[in-house]
Amino acid sequence: MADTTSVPGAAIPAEDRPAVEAVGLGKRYRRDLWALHDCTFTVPAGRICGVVGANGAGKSTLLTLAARLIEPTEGELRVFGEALSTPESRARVAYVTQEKPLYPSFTVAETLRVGRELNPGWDEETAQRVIDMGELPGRARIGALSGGQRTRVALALALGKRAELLLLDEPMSDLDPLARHELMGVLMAEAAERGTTILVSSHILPELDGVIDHLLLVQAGRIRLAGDLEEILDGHQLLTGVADGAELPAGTAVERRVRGRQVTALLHTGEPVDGPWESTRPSLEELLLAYLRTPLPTAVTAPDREAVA
Amino acid sequence: MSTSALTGPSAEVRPAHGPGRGPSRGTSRGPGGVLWLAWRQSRVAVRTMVIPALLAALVLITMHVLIQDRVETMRRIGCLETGVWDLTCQVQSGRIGMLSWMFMNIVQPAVTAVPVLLGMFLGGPLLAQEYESGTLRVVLAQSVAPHRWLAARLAVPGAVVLLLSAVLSALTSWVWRSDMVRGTWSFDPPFQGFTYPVLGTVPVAWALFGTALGVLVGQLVRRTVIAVLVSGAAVVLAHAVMLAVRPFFWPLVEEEQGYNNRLGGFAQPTNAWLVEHGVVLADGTRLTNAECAISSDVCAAAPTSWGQYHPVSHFVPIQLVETGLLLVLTALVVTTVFRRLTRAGV
Repeated sequence: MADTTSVPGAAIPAEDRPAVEAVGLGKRYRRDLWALHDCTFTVPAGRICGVVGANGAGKSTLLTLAARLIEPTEGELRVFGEALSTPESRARVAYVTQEKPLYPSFTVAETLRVGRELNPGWDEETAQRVIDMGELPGRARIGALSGGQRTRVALALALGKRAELLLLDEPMSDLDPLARHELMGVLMAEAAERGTTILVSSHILPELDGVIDHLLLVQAGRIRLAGDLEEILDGHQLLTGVADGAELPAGTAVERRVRGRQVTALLHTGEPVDGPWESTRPSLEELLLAYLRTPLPTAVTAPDREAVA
Repeated sequence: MSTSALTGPSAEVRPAHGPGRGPSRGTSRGPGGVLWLAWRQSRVAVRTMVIPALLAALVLITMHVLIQDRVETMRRIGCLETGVWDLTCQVQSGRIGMLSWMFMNIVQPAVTAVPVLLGMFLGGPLLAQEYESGTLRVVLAQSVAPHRWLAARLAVPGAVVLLLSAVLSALTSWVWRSDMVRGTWSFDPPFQGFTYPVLGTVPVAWALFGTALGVLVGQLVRRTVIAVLVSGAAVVLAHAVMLAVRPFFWPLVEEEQGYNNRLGGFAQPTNAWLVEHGVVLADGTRLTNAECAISSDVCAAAPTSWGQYHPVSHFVPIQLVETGLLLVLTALVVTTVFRRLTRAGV
C-alpha cells in the first residue's frame, strides 16, 4: 500500500505534482448517508478551481476532507502527493469554513496573533492589508463585527498563513458586492503572485465567472464534471432550433428545454452537429445551470444536508 | 526545496518540533504560540476561579484567627478550670460553636462541591464550545499539530486548578486540624460526609478528575449547555460511586465487644469510621444493625456486639489510595480526549 501511493509521487518533481488528487474518494456520515461517493479527480497545482453544486451536494465535505479535518470512509485523497496529515502538510493548506467561526471574545488583532503564533510562515503584512482594506480597527471584538467583517478577518487569517493550497467554502456569501469584488481581487493577486492553488466552492455562479480556470461539478455526492474549464466549455455546445425539426444527436444531450416551438439543448460534445441548429459555445453559467437542473441519470442516495460538524 | 517525498538528510535538518516549510521565512515556533492561545482562551476562566479561591482563603484564615482569639480569651479567664465557668465563658464558647458550625455546614459542603462546579463550568464547556461554534476547525486548520494545541489548552487551566485546589485543601486541612478536630468545643471526625472530601490530597485529585471528566463529556456531546448539565451529573455520580467503594480502599478492622446497650451497640474508637456493626448471638451468628431492626428482641438479648471500622490511622492510606485511583482515572480520561480529537473528526 505504502509503495503504490508514495512511489509515483516521489518520481514527479514537487512543482508538477497535482495539488489535490482523489481516487475513489467517499465519505459516509451515518449508516446510509453518503455525502460523497466514488469521486476521482485531479486538480493541478496553481489552478483556481471552482467547486460547484447544489446545496447538500457534498461540496463542504470535499473541502473538509482536503483540509484533513475528517477522514475519508473510502478511497484516498492526496494533497501535494501526501495521503496523510503531517505537520508539514498542515502548514501548506489553509481553510476557511462556510460559517467563518472565530473566537467572539478575541479582538481582530488577537485573532491575527493566533495566526502569527500558530503558523511558522506567517505573513503579517498580507493579513494586515486585508484587515485595513475593510477599515477594521484592531481592537474591535470579533463578536461585535458584522458577518461580512468576520469573513474578512477569516480570509486574512487564511491568507496570512501563506498556504500553497487555499480551501474556501462559500467565502463571499455574506459580503456586499463591493467587498466581494475587492476580496476576490486580493485572492487572485495572491494566487497569481505565489502560484497558490485555490479550491473555492460557491453557489453564486457569477462570483466564479472569469475567476476560475478549473471546474469540479459535484452532484448528489458524485463528481459530474472535472477538468480544465476551457476544455470543458469547448467540449459542450448550446443548440437552439425549432422543436419539430431534426432529432438531437443521441446520447450527448445534457439538457433539453422546450419553450413554445423553440428548443434549447446543451450537448456534451465538441463535434459539429448536423441539422437545423444554431450552435454556440455555452457560458460558464449556462453550462452549470444546465447540469444543475438535470439530476444524475443513476439514482444516488442524495445527502440531505451539507457536511455537518 | 523538497517536500514530503524527500527523506533522509532534509528530514534531519528540519526542526523536529515545527513544520519545516522549505526555505520559507519565519522560524518554527516552540510551545510559546500554543501557550499564548491557551492562556488567552483560559483568561476569563482563570479569573473566575482565582477570585472565589482568594475569598475562600480569606474566610478560612479569618475563621482560624477568630477561633484562636476566642480560645485564648477563654484560657485567660480560666474557663477550662473546674468551677470557673461563667457567662463570659458561655458567650465565647457560643461564638466558637457558631464558627465551627459555619465551617462544617457552609465551608465544607462548598469545598466538596468544587469538583462538580469545575466539571460543569470549566471542563464541560472547554471543548464543547470549540466544537459547537466551529472554532476547533480554525485551530486545527493552522500549522500546529492538534495534540500540541490540546496539550496547552488543557495544561493551562489544569495547572491553575492544581494550584488553587492545593492551596484551598491546605487551608481547610489546617483549619480543621487546628480548630475543629483538636478543639474542645467542636466534634468533627475526619471520615464524616463533608469532612473527608475537604482534607488532604483528595480535594486536589477530585478537582483534576472533575475537570477532566467535564472535558470528555464536552467532547462527546459537543453542545455547551448539555455538556454543563451532563458533566455536573457525571461528577456527582462519580462521587456517589466513590462513597460506596471507599470503605474497601484499606482492610477494615473487625472487633467484638461485650454488648453495650447504653451506646446502642458497638462503640468504635474516637474519630474512627464505623462501616458496619451489629450483634453476635449466643450461637455465634452475626446480625447487622439493619437485621436487628426486624428482630429487635433477639438483638436486645445478645451478649456480644461486633463492628467493622477504619480507625483514624487509616485516614491517610485511604486518602492516598483514592488520590491514586483518581489520578489514574484522570490520565485515562485525558488520553481518551486526545485520541478522540484526531480520530473522531470535527
